[in-house]
Amino acid sequence: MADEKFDAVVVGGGNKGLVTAMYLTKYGGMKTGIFEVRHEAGGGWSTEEVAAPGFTFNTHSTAHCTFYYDLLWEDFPDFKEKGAELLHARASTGGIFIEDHSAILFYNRVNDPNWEKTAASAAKFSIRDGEALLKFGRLWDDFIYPEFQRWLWTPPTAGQPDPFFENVLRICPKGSIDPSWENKSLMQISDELFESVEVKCGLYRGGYSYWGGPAHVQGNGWHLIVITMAAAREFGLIRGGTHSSAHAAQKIVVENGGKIFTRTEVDKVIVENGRAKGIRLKDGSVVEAKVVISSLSPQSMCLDLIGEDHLPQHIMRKAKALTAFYSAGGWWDAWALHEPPNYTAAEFDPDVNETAFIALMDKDPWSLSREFWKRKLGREWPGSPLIHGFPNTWSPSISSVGDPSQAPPGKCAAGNELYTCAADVFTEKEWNEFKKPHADFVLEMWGKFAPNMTWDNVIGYRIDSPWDITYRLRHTPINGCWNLLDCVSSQVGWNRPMMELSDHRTPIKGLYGTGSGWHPLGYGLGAGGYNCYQVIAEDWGLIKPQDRNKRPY
Amino acid sequence: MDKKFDVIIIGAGPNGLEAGVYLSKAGLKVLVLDKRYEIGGGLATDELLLADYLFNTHSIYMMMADYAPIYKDIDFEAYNCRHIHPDVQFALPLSDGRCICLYSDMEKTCESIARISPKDAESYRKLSRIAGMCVDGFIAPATYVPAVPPLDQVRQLQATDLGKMVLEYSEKSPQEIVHEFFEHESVRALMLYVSCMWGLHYDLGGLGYLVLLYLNRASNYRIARGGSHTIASALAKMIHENGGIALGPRRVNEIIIKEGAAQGVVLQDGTTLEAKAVISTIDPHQTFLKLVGEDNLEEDLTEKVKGWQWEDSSLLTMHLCLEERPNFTAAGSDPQVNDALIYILGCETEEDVIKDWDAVHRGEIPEQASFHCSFPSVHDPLQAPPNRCSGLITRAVPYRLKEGKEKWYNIDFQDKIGNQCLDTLKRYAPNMNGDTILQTKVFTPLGIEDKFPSMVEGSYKHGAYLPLQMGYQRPNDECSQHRTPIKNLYVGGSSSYPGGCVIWGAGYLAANAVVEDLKGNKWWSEPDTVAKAKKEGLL
Repeated sequence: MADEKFDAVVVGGGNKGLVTAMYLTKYGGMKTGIFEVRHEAGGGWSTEEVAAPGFTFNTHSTAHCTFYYDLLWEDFPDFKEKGAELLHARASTGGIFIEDHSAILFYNRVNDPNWEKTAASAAKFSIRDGEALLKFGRLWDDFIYPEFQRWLWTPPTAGQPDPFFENVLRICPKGSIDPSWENKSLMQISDELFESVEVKCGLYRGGYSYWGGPAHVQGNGWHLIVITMAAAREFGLIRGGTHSSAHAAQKIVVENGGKIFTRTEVDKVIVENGRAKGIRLKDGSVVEAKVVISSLSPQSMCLDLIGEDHLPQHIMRKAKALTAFYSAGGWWDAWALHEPPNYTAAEFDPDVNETAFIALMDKDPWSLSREFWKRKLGREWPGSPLIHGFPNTWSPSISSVGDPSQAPPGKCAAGNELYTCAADVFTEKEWNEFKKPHADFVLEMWGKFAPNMTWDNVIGYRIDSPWDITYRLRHTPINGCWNLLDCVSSQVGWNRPMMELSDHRTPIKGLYGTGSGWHPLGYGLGAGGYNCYQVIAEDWGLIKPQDRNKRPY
Repeated sequence: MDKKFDVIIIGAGPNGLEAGVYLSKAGLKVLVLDKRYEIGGGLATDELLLADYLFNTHSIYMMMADYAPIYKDIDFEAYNCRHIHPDVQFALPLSDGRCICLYSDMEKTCESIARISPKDAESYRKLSRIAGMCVDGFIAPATYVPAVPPLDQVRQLQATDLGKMVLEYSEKSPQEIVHEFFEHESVRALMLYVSCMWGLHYDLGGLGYLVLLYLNRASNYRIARGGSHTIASALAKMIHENGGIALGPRRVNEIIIKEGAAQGVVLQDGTTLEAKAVISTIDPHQTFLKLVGEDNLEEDLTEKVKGWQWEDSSLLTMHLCLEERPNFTAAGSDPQVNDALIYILGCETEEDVIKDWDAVHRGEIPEQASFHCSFPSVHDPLQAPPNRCSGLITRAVPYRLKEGKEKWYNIDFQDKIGNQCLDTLKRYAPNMNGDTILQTKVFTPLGIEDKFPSMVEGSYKHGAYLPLQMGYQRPNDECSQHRTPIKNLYVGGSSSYPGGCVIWGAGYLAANAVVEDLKGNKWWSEPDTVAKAKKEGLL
């Protein structure tokens, strides 16, 4: 392309890049260009019709929560109407147990404002756990969740330890949160809170879906229980699929004078005298800008975009040492179905069939940990019936979600995820050969929980292996970790990706970093873009939305 | 978001987006709605299978890029949107290792045909000139002006020599025209296939001008760099820059009619949106019977709409992730074969073309597959990973199978039909095998309908090309001027004049009618070809 000039350029048109650009264009008044290497902007906010025509599927990010969007909806009042509209199923998440087809369900805030339904579901297994959930619910609503929101939507202070747990501890009634939780595992915290194996297994499974790792890892319990609860309470599906949110963001950027270039690869950030001057594209053309934002992975930003010459050695060393080891690789499968799965467990609780995201599981608290390490350290056939991996499944077109746009009339669009080993354990050819047997395996497994899930119910399907996930979205680590970096306590919040970079500034003036590898977490969170803009606004004297919209953060 | 607009356009396919761009730039407040989550309609590109393989899941060939006014009126390049026009356009490889190619350059085509039949090469030169004159002088410009009533049209055409020629060929069927010029059975096969590949019946008279158009276009096919959807993205950006909005998934349930005039629409979720004008780009059944409702229609129009005929052949597509590009046996005699944009495989004689066509119309699928196919990444490396290749097979098949349309949902059946296609491909390009074909996906006519409800029974042009459904009769004599008997309601999709495929006619003409009626700022001017045709008395 011809040489261009902008006030700000964003490298990477994923959701963090788009959200940053929404603020830069509307609040910052900056002429902004976004450069995306793929054919569509949106990054993980992507939806395509891959199983069969007319059946949508979120090819990456699926479960979207209100806290992804809260401030964006306030700061961009038409964001929702333009496509970022969250729909809530009757129950948000849950799990079905193979032993007796019983089920534990978690309800979202919209349908269960006082935690009563969730508590009642737990009480089917233990009266005490039902009461414990009601109690925890009050603590959650009054103290933890508001503090969680503040933590999400506030940029870190560089070089400082993450204050989240300390703050929660300070504001919660004495004795309600134990100071030791910061160092415990999800299993240990759950053991303190609950007694029934079903409630605990439900939590472990939720935690697993969030970070792709087991519940016994020490030091990871606090943020796992927070994110698992937050996801269960705020869970929803975007109308039309998560890519609709990307459309809405693109519209806002374009309306406010921004430009989005797809299929345009950036080579380097141009650095002169310690200051970013713009970017050089792969085709050699130069785009000048006084502000450059990288929304790639921290490793790509440091090693590829900037390079050794312009960064201190200790930052380079830390960037190279970031881990994506603990997260499992995943199968990510799209299904076009004649009818939604009809679970046997619906006899136990009819809401099972109206749950947006449900895990098929068992009551062995250690099964996930065992499966995880078997896959992590072995080279076993990644979907073998010998390994009882249980899929998560979801159906955006079930009636209670209320989104008929995602499947032809009367039909059902569904998906499942199943954890497996890292992409590089097998060759691309092997992964491709595993696909059909894997599909057979998933249906066999699904059929044990929902007898109508046979090949006769299938119109089409598309299987994504960890290999596909790794190569589909750029800068994904080789094991297919969908959060880019492990969400372990050393790599979340103010530690993400490292203390020196988590406030979005870099040692290079005018160059900022954001993306899934930054505070607060992975996920398609809007906060990564919001916080990055906060910092840029601070440095460049731009309008801050919280001032205009009278908010504390 | 406001609930009041100047113009609401139903359907964000190429025509809907086109009208949206013209009208929003004319200062009108435009809302384009689509039932799908993604705008673009047939301009769809998805990463269906393996990473970095982009597949155009509906439209791929842009055949009017040199004539459609939109290419002159807006700057696609500014939006990183470009077309690629390969030199070798069509190839018909033969089992004996020879082949016939159609080039963008007529002389090269004549050379290629001459190797098979020198006489047919000369005939091609002659037909090509006739087609070129007719298309340039009348058929192309007529695509971008409102249709003229048949009698007036005939009277006007009879006044000039070129017009008389257009009339003469229009009477003929594709087969008659092909017979008139060509002798060799393979040359006939190629020309007949090219004339009928978008659903024109081989022995149907009265639409012969389309044969001239398709033969002429057979050296003018283009594909969009980065996939067809880049065009839709560019158009949507323009609409947003002009203060309009293109929005999905928003299904329209009703067009509000008060006192005989359209006032707006009601969405599926109950939202009411007001507009001074409503343009429907979807099919006549949905527009008039469902959204407007029979109560608001004169009986006469209702009958006409109910008489609308869907297409009786549809398409099966197969998307391929390939390890390497195909190497055709015919490349031994002509290496350029490997660079063709479109291949016709399995149809080597006129009889093959006719036999397959007849089978499709009986609801059957021949065991030996014939189809056309393309390997887009050969021309546009953006559509596949480095050194790999994407493929698209397009096969005419019936929507209504003898065993019932539901059979299309059967995965084993999809695989069976897909494998027939692969067998044919392997016959002509032996390097295509289990090792080089990495992944495939079959889409069926039922899938076309599931994806685009306007394409009823897999009618990818929203309705058959029959003399009584073309020209002034598309969709009927009361609506072909893009205004309808209902005030403020316009039609502008594939089912209205000039018709389907991505030819940019209907949306443009609907926009012309609306900008005039709403007194918007008509910022564009008549295309030069139209002005010339008018000057010469053809329009």
